[in-house]
This record gives sequence, structure tokens and C-alpha cells, in this order.
Amino acid sequence: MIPSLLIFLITFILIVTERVNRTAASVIGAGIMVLLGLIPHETALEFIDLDVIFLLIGMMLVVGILQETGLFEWTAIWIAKKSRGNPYLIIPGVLAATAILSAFLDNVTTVVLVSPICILIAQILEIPAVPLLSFLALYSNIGGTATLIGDPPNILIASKAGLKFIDFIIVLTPIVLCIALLNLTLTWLAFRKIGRVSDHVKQRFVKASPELAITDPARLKLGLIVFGGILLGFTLGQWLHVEPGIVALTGGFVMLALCGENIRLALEKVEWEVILLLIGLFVLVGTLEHQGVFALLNDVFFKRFASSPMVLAQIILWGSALLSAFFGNIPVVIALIPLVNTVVNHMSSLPAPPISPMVMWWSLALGTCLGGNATLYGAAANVVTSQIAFRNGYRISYRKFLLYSLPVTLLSLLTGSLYLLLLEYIL
Amino acid sequence: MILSAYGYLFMIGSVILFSIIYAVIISEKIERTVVVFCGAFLMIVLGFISYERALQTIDMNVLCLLAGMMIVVHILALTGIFEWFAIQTAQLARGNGLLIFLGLLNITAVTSAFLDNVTTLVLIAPVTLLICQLLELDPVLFLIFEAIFSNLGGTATLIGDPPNVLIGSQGHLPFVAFIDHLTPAVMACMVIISLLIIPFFRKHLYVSPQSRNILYKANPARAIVDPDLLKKALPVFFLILVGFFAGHSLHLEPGYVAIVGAIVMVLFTGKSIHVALKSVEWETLAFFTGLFILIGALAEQGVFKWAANAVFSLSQGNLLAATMLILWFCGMFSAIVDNIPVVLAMIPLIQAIIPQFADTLGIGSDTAALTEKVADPLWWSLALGACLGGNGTLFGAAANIVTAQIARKNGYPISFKRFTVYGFPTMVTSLVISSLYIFIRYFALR
Repeated sequence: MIPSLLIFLITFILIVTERVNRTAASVIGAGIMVLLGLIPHETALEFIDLDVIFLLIGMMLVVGILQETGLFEWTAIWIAKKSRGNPYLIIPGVLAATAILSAFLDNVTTVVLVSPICILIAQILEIPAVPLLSFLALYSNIGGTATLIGDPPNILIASKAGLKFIDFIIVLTPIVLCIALLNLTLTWLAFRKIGRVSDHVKQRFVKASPELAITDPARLKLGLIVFGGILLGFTLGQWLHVEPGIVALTGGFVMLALCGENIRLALEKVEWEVILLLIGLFVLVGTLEHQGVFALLNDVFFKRFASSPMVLAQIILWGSALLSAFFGNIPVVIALIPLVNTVVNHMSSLPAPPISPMVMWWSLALGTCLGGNATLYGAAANVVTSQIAFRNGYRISYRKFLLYSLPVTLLSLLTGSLYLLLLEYIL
Repeated sequence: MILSAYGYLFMIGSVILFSIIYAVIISEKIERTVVVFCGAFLMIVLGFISYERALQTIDMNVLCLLAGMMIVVHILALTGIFEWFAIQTAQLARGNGLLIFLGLLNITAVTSAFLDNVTTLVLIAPVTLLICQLLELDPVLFLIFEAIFSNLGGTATLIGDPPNVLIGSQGHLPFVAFIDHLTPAVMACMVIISLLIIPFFRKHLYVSPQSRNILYKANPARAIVDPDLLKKALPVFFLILVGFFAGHSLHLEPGYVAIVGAIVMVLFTGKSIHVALKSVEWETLAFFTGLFILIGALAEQGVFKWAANAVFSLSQGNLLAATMLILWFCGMFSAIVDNIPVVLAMIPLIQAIIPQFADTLGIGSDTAALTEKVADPLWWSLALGACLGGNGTLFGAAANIVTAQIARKNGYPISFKRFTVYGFPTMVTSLVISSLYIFIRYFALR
């Protein structure tokens, strides 16, 4: 058990500090585990969650196609036009659109698409771009929390816990809506100094025509139909016994065929580095599970809280959020899933669990998704936003981001924490 | 195996769905990756295979092996080593098209006997493409026969082809037994097939004097464009090859060696992982993934077991009939689908039937006689049928699919039809030769 823990820690540190390429570190770390016989080859392969891999590849294909149609630009320009240049409408509008988009798309994709528009809006309104972009990243993470496909931690949790698309809609979407609305007060605080916008500037918004953003209406129509089909497949999937992974991947390929995309090129655009990083992480964490690390942790630490699950749920929420803030939420969620799984299994085995063990999964989802917001390195969307900002001449420093992210994260987690208490009584 | 009426209905349903998907793929009207995934999706939705089982049937070893070797080849290609090898080979053969053709086929076959077929082709295809461009020869002809010869060569040893690995481990047959029993048959097949195809393709292998002149002037040493990279990449490459050999005793699958080795190579040579991963033919991997699920659904519905049972009931207790039926049934079946599920279905039946034949022949508990008279002919016909059958169509063996994809990427599409035109007669010839071999060695000479 000790050698596996040692290799895991070294690899994990290399991954989060990015001293070596993250993908290389995770694959080689996993390779060493197998080579040293800490995990048999076949068992290692079983730990690779193909459902998650399929879902990610499928969604990357789908988003790649939709992105080229100009749909996302259309949305942002449409909001700008409807708000008629009123900053108190336009900022919440853009943030709401970001949250909704990222509930259905990958967060990184969302910020890549909406950031340029945000920068444009900030320039036209002559308001500071850095706070707007920071809130954009924060809202993409908040929105992503709402659905199974919105944020990688949710995809990972759903696959292991057997939670369905509809479960996320029922449990997480309402609370995410609350969190998003509550955080608008913080947005208002950040932007309250903006005065009235001159009529001259307003005219620019009124004249904007979102239709120009749509590059290929025919393709957009087909793409949206297939995308609708995929969402339908996600919801119907639980009765047809098909998991989201195969729905997304098949849907992605069908969309490629219908839209006449070159499959080879589309597949090249998939972020294989991320996929391979995940595969390595699955094996690394799988080795720890195989060696009994999580069972031990459960015995030593978590078993004590089995009688007071409310405390345990809060520990998972705040603990995973803290870890995510520093290490990034994807590695953290992969490492914590087996631990939470052990806890859930242990609780389910008790004769009369005081509350539904499923609450633990929801704490983990809220903790990792929302905790990723706390620092610039907590979630991939934050890093990407700062990179786009930098390319456009705006610097989002770690501290500057913290100024907005910390209050937002604390408010979100507090809300989530209260919701968990409520959830314990509901479930 | 006894199935309920309901079970039969499901089995027939899965076969019908598979046939439709197969027909659509062969028609090549729609991208095959798309078709294969729609098919896999339908198999799951219609309940022919559960989602969990479907994911389990995906052979990660093949996928990792492919991805890893493609990255390795991508880096090696940057050094110019393939050009060097191509010019050397062509000059050694003095620009004689026929000599180069046979030379390449033999190299492929021998390499395949010791390395995985897919690995062999991923390595040999770039060299072949370069030689063909240099000498203005038809690369498709070369590549198809290389795929065929890699399957032939792979048949010869325990480690050459996955069905042999399965047969060796489950039939408790040692490495030398494969060389003793299979290598003569494979060599006979190779010689006879080579002699048969030469008259057909002589014209295609003509090299014009101009191309020959260009070849003579080429300096192989100048082909190495990045000697520093080569110095870093080659040691890792040899380490990977050692890993493939040592893997069999260390229980490391080739897929594991290939993917970890590839990442080590990328790190060691200081190349970008991002770019290296883009060089992988993800479409091929996606196609295999879908295909695994489709074939897994057939296996799940007991199609292979049912067919294997039918073969045994047809033989009616005659050992010669049983061996011939196994050989031809496995051959034909492996030509249409992958050979592994066929072998997996046959192995338990052969294990069950060996004592029955022993009883009828009155051998009893004499193990030596049992092995020699009953077990040998049955096991070796299974190995020959399953491995050689892979040559029948484009989808018979992983090596064929990989070859087709590499060719397509380089602008020389290999259609299902063209492969089958070359592959099917070759397969039938090799099965006829194998039948004679089995008859002579295990029946006539006893």
C-alpha cells in the first residue's frame, strides 16, 4: 500500500504543478504502477471509465460542430440587442447566457466562445473588462454544476454513482439557479459604479444584428436537431438502458455525417491530451483503490461519522472544495470518487441509514464544481479565460481574480451547504 | 447449448441487425465509423447486449497498441529512418520490382511471426509507401499483400496472432509446439501463394529505367534529416521492442508497452504531446471500438457458440470430418467477423470433444497417444482456420483494417472489394494447403 501511495503522490504533485507535461506524468505514473505489479493489467483496464471517456469525446465532437455555426455568438449579440445598451440588463444577461450555455456544453468551450463577445461589450460600454471576464469564468462554472454534462466532475460522479441525467436536473438545477441569482448581488457590487451609458453608445447595441453571426444556417438547423436528439437520448436513456456515453458518441458521429464534416479532422480537434490524462488518472486512483487505501481511510476516519451523516456531507462539501481550489477539480474528483463510494457503500450497508447515502454524491458534486471557482487554477475555464484576456491585452492576475472569486465561491458554498441540510430532510 | 424460443429469436435478431450494418459498411456509401457506431447503439438499445457488457468487449489492448505505435511511427518518421530503410531496401534489390515485392512480403511475414501484426504493418507501411513513390509502383497492391502476409506470418508462432495466444494458453500448448506444427504449414502457404501471385502481378511490378536511375543516385545517408532525434528515439524504440518480447513472460500486454513506451519516447525526444496525439488515427480507433461492440453483441447472443455446436454435430464422430469442418468453418467465419470470438467459442467445445474422440478411438488414458492422435489435429486446424481466415475480407483481421486506413490517409483508398478480390482467393488457397497438410501429417502418415 505504501509504495502505491508514494507513486500516486509524486505523480499527483507533478500533474498539479505541471513541472512535466500533465498527460505524460499521469500515463507514466500509471505505467509504473502496472510495471511494479501494484495492480494487475486487467484490473487496471477495468478502472478506466469508458462511459466518461465516450461522453467527453462525444460532447467535444458536438461542440466542435455547433461552434462553427455561430450559434453562440448569435446568443450573445441577441442579448446585447435586447438589453438596448443598459448595463444593468446586459451584464446579468450575458452572465445568465453563459451559465445556461455551460450547463449544456463544456465550461471551457463556453468561455472560449463568450469571452471575445464580453471583451467587445466591455469596450463598447467602456467598463473594465477584467471583472466582467472574471465573472464570466465564475458563471460558466456555476452553470456547469447544474447538469450531468455541464462539468467534468458531474460526468465522473454520475458514471460511478449511477446517477441519471434527470437526477441532476431535479437535485442540482434548482440550487444552481438560486446560487446564480444570489451571486448577481455580488456582480452588482462589482459593477455598481458604472453610470449611465450615453445614447450614442446605446445606438450601437440597437443596430447590432445577431443574424450576421450565423455562418451556416442549414448546418445549424441539422446540428440543433441532432443536439436535441442527444439531450432527449440523455433523458430517455435511463429507460432504454443506454448511458450518456454511447448516446453522445453516436450522436456526435451522426452529427458529423449529417453536417458533412470530415470525421478525421473533427477527431483531430478532440482534446486527446485531456482524455489520456484522465485514463492515466483512472489507473492511478484505481491502484489506490485496489491496494485498499480508500477502505482504510473509510475505516479510520469516515466510519465515525456514519452516525452523523450531516456532518460528513458538510466535510465532503468543504473538503473537496478546498482541495479543488488548489489542485484543480478534475484530479480531485477522480481521487475522491472511490473514497465517497466506499462511504456510500458503508452507509447503505447499515440497517437503517439516517439519510439517503446519495447526499454524499451531491456534496461531492457541489464541492468540486463550485470549489473550482475559488482560485484561478481551480478550474480549467478560469485558466482559459485568463489566457484569452491576456491575448486581448487584459491581465487577470491570481490576486485580482481572487478578489471576485472568493466572495462568489463562499456565497455559493454556503448556499450549497444549507441546501444539503435541506436535502437531508427531503431525501 | 439449448436456447429457448425467445433466445433464438434474439439471436436471429442480432444476426439480422449485424448483417444489415455489415452490408451498409461494405457499400461504402456512408462513413464506416458512423455506421459502426449507429449499429453499436442499436445493439444496445434493442437489448442484444447490455451497456456494461458492451464496454467490457472493447479490447483496450488493441486500442492502446494502435495509439502507441502510431505515435512511435510519427516520431520515427520525423527522423527520416523510413526513407533510409526504403532506399536501402530498393538499392539492395537493384530496383527490381519483383524482388522488392517478395522481399517486403517476407520481411513482413517474419516480423509478424514475432511481433503483433498491427505493429508490423504500422512500421512497414511507411517504408512501402516511400518505395512505391520512388519507383512509381502501385502501393495498394503492395499494402494489401503485406497485410495478407502479416496474417500468414503471424499464424506461425504462439505470439504471432491473438488466436494463437488464446489457443496456447487454454489448450496448454508450448511455444515449440506451434513452431513444430504450424510453421511448416505456413511456409508451404507462403511459397505456394508467392508462386501463384507472381504471374498475375509481374506487369504491375515493372520499374522504368528512369526511376531506376533516380534510385541509384539516391544517397540513403542523406535521408536521415534529424540525426539527433534519431539518436534519442532509437534507444526508446528498441526498448519498446524488448518490452514486446519480455511482455509475454512479465504479463505486460503489448498495448501497455506501446502506449507507455510512446509517451516515454515523446518526453525523451522533447516533442509536443499535443502534436504527437494528433498524429494518431483516431478514426481507426473509433471504428474498432464500434466493431468490438457489434461483434460482442453477436457473442452475447450465443451466435458463435451455436455455430460451433452445429459444426460438431455435423461431424458425426468422424475425426477427419471434424478437423476439416473446424478448419473451413473457422476460416469462413473469421473472414467475415474478427477471429477472436470464433476461437473463444470453439476452444471449450474442442476441450469437451477430445475425450469423446478418445473414447471412440479406444485410447483411454494414454496421454501421449491422446495428444498425438486426437488433440493435435483438432487444435492445429482451429489455429490455421482462425488465423488464415482473417485474410478473406477487409474486416477479417485488425491488420487489414489498419492497412486500409493508413493507405487512405496517404491518398490510396483500399476498397472492401479490392481487398476481397486479392484476399479471398489467397485465403481459399491457404485453407486448401492447410487441409492437405493436416490430412497428410495427421491422418495419411499415421
